[in-house]
Amino acid sequence: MILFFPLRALRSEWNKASKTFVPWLAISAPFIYALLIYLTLYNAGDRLVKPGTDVWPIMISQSFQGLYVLFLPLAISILVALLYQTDHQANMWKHLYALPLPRWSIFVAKSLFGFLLIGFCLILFSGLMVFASYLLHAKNPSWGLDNFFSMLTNSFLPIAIKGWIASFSIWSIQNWISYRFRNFAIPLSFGLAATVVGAIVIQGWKNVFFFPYSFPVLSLAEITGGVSYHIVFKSLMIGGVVFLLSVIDAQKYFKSKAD
Amino acid sequence: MNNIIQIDNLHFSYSKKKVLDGLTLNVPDQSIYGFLGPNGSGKTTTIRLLLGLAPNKEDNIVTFNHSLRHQRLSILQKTGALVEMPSLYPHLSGFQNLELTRKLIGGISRTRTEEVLEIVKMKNDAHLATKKYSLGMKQRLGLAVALLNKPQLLILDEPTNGLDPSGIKEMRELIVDLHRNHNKTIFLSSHLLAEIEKMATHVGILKAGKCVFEGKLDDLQRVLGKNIIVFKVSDLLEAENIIRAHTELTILKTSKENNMITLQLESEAAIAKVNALLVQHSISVFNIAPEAGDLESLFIELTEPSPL
Repeated sequence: MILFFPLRALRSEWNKASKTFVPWLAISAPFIYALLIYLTLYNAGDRLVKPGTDVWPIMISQSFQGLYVLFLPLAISILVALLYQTDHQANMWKHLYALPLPRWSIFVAKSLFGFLLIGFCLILFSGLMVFASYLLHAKNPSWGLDNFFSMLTNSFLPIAIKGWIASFSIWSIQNWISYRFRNFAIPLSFGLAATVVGAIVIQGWKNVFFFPYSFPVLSLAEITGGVSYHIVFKSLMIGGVVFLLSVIDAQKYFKSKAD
Repeated sequence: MNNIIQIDNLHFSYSKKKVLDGLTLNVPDQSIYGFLGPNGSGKTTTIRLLLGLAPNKEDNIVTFNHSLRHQRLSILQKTGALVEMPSLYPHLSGFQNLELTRKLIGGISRTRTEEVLEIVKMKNDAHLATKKYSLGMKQRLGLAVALLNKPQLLILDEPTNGLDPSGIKEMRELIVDLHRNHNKTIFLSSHLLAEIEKMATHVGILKAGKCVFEGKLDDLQRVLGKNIIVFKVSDLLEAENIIRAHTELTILKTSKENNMITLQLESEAAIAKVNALLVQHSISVFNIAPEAGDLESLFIELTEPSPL
């Protein structure tokens, strides 16, 4: 019975979240972002693209640079905080932790749902960007935007998946804070502040390679620049330690009287 | 009769504030145990400790003959709980809320959801979002959630608190029905004696983190039904002799230093009679006062009028 618990818990997380704002956000955020990039290239493409240049690298950097510097860390902060907010507001922890299930298992299942949702958003976004390329190709065949499927499987998806894993440490930090604090403003403002700091330090601070909120954009630089900062390893290490601590916290921590 | 819950000398503090101070309780199997105490006396804390929701380093809570510290999960399998406000997702219907918990626990058939809705008489409103529920409906649904895993023991924290009179009546009938027809042992907290008196078979009274009375409801009524009165007299020995010679009253205690004699009396008329008797025998009575015992002062606190 306990073997199927993660599946059951994920399903019940989905049942809970499916009736909230969360799925709308998870679908509309990638969609709106992809739409904005499409509209930019559609209207100003002639100015941005010089004749004879390879447009795919432009598509890729347009897609992922702003996303990984700003929007992904912010989206993680908002999504994770929203997921936990539903539980905090319903005073759910005392109920969940009095069920005949190990506390850590409930926490892990709830957490993983958020991380999987972020992965879903990134993969959806990759698909939407390739679709946007297809539409741009119809308008400007001279840009040479073709080979959509191989671009999707060889460039967009690998970048998205790598960015997803690189965001593991951001997620694990936001996940812990969102669980720990009832007040929605705390994880949100922490995420916002850290994202802004990340956007500043990426300009040239020498220790940026250890700042989790810069990991996604560094993972993009690894792919496009052909360099290695061991970002995936660092993200998994830092994120893994933080997540482990949060699991121990969930197993040990007893919510305050107000919950 | 076996005890389902045994708590032995339980201490608990919230950031240096002592909440439980050597609490000892025994909840018999198949009882409705009324856990009575004024607000802030430590009832909810005790319930949280019973469910493992508050930290306890000692091994002094035994439920179903298992140590809570070591076998929490197997105890929780046989326990259903409703702590403070029911935990419900407001955007989901009553039915969906039940289904979430049922799936999470696992191994419970879908028909059980219908069954518990039937027990708490919520079938007709099950498909309404719980944010549209009244507090009484929320409490009943919370009870339904607690019943999902067919628990032997139900732990309910102030289940009638904040309900309107008809809500209180419904909840009370439900609790009695669960006890009588579904063989549940029910551990029920309240700050109102009147509420507990209408349901409980056994009572434990908590004051400042200590159990000051535990026993059957009848025993409590026997203890509380009498007045305990202290007389301050001019001659203690003589007074004692006169009372023994002329009445059949029980002398609870005497205090030589203060010349005080403590009696248990049935009525106010009896107080006047004792006073007259002493005066007739030339003993001066300086003071007559009810003894502010633990239980009696507590009794006053607990008997603020109940809404029903």
